[in-house]
Amino acid sequence: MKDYKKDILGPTEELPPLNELMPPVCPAPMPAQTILFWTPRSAIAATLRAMELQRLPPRPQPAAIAMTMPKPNEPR
Amino acid sequence: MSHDDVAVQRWLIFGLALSTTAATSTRLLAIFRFGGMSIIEVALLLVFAILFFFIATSFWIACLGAHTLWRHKHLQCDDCAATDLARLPLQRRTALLVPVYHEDITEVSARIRAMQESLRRLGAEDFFDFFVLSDSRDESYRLAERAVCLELRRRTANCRLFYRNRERNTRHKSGNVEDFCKNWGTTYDYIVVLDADSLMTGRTLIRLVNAMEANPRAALIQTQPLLIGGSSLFARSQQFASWIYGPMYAAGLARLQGSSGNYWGHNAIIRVRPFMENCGLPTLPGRAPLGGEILSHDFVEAALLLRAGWEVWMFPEPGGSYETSPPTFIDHLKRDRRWCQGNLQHIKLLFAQGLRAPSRFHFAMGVMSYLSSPLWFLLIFLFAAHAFASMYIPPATFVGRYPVLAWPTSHTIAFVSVGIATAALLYLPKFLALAVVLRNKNATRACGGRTMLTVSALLEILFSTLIAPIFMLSHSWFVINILAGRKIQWGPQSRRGRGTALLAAMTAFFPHTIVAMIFGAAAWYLMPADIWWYLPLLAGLFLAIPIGWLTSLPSLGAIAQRFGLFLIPSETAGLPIAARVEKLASGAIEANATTDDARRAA
Repeated sequence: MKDYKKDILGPTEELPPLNELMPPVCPAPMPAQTILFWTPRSAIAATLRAMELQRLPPRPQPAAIAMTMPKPNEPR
Repeated sequence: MSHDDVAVQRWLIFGLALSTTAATSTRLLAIFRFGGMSIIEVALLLVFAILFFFIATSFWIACLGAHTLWRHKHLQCDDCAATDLARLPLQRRTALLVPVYHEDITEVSARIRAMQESLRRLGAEDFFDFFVLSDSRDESYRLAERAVCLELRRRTANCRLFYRNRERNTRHKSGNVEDFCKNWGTTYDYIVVLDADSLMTGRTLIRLVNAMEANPRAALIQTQPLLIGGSSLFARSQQFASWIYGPMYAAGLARLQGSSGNYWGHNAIIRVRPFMENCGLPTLPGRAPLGGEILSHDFVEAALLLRAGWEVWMFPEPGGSYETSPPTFIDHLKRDRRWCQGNLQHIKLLFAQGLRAPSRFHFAMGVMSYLSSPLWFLLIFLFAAHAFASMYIPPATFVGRYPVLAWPTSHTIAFVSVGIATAALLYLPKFLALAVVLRNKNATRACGGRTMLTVSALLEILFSTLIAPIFMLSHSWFVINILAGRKIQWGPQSRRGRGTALLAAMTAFFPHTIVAMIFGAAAWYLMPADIWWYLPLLAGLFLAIPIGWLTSLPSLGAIAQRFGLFLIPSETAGLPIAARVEKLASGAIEANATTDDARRAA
C-alpha cells in the first residue's frame, strides 16, 4: 500500500477528519419491510378460502330480495 | 409496447419452453418405457425435464432478443418512447453512489474523474454529485481514500464530490446504500448506484435521468453494463462474450419483462422516495446461510418495488454503461461463491406472499443458475449409471421352464436426437448472436472484421465448452457447502490481476483433475464403448489446471489481441471514456511510483 497521504498531499498537509467531506445530514427513515412466507398451513388455508369464495353464491342484497318477492295478494 | 403485448410474449415463451421440454422428455420417456421404468430412469427423466425447461427458457428468451436486434427494434419505456431523451432539460439532482471496500482508490478516482469530465462536456455536471461511500476497515485504505478524494475535490468545480467512511459496515453494500439514503437521501431525487469498477458516460447518465422524468411511475431503470478493460485471456474472452451475446439476452429479457424488470445491483438509476419507502430490507427467518441477512439484495429490492406497484425497467439501448470482468478464472469462481450463497437464499423468497409473478421468475432463474450445476452433475451420473445397468441386462429370462430371449434393441438414435436437441439449445443462441453482429457492418468491423469475429466466436464456444464442466463441479461444491451450512466472509473483489501462479492454479483445480481421472478410468474400464459421450466433459476437467493458469496470464491476452482475437469495439473503434480512465489511472500510478523511487533514492 502506498503512502497516499504523502504522495498526493505532501508531507506537511493534514487530512481533514474522517467524515468532514460530506454535506449536512438530513435524516429520514427507511423502514424494514415485512415479508410473509407461505407455510403449508397458510397455503392450505388460503386455497380453502379461495375455494369457499368460489363455491358460495353471491349473497343477495336485501333490496334485491324485496324486489323479487311476490306481494302477498299477487297471483303467482 | 403495451402490457398486453408483454403478457402475450410471456405466455408465448413459457408455452414454447414447456412444449420443447415436453417433446424432448417424451422422446426419452419412450426409450425408458421399453421394458418398464427403473428408479434410475424415473430420476433421470425428472432431472432432465427440470434442466431442459431451464435451458429451453433461456433459449427462447435469446431467440426473442435476436428477433428484436435483427429488426433493430429497441424496447422503449412506455411514456418516454417517442421522446428525444437527450433534449429534455434536467431539473432534478442526482447522486452517484460509489461504494468501496478495500478497493484500489487510484482506479476508482480515475473512473470518477472521467465521468465528471464527460458530464462537464455536456454541461450537466451541476446536476450530479458523486459520493464515495467507503466501508473500508483498514486504516491505510481509509487514509488513501481520504487523500485521493480530497485531491479529487480540488480538481472538481463546486466540490461535487463527497466522501464518508461508515463507522460500522453492517449489511455490506445494501447497508452502505441504505445508510446514505437515511442520512442524505432526501436531498436528492435520484441515485445512480455504481460499483467500484463501474463506468458510465455522461450522455447515458443524462438519458437515464430524462427517462425517469418522462415516466413518473418508474422507480428503477437498469442499464446493461458491458465488460471492458480485461487484459488476461480469460477476461478478454468473457468481455467478448458480453459484447456479442449480452445485448441479445438483454434485449430478450427486456421485452419479456416490460415494466416488471429486475435490478442487478449497480449501473442503475433509482427514484429515491419509493426506494426509501419500500426497500428497507428485512432479515430472513432462519439461520445463515439461507436465512439471516439478505446478501443478494438487488433482486429483492426490485421485487419490493414491484410489490408496491412501481415499475422497474431495463434501459433499452446497450452502450454507455460498463464494468470490468474478474481478471482470472479463480477470481471469477471466488465471486461466484458469494453470488451462489446470495442467490440460493432466494429459494425462500420464491414462497413469499404478495410478490409479483415476474419477481418469482427472476428469483427462480437466479437460483437455477447455480442449482443447475449439481443437477447437471447428477444427470451425468444417472446417465452413466443407466448406461452401465443397461449393459448387464440378462440375455434371457424364463417363463416357467421356457427361456424368453431379450430382443436386442438399440436406442442410440433416440439418445443422439435428445443429445442434439440439448446441444442446439445450448449453442444455437451463440450462433444467432453472431449472425446478428455479422449483419451490422460497423459492429463487425469493430470486432476485428468478419473473419476474425467468426474465428473468435468459434474459439469462445470451444473455450466455454471446456470451462463449463469446471464451473459445474465448482458450483456443485459451492451449493453443497452452502446447503451444509458453511457460510463465507464477504471480502473485497479482485479487479486487476497479474495472473495466477501455477501453484495457486494447481491448488484450486487439483480436485477437478482428480474427478476427471477417476470418472474417466471408471468409464474406460466399465463401458469403453460409451466413453466418447463423456469426452467433452472429461477434457475440460482434466485440463482445468492449465486452463486456469494459462488463461490468467495477461501476456497471452496481449498475444490474442495482437492476432485480432476476442476484439471488442472499445479496443478497435475506441471508447474515449475508457481511454481517459486508462490514462488517468496510469498517470496516477506512475506519479506514485516516481515518488516511491525518489523516496528510496533519498
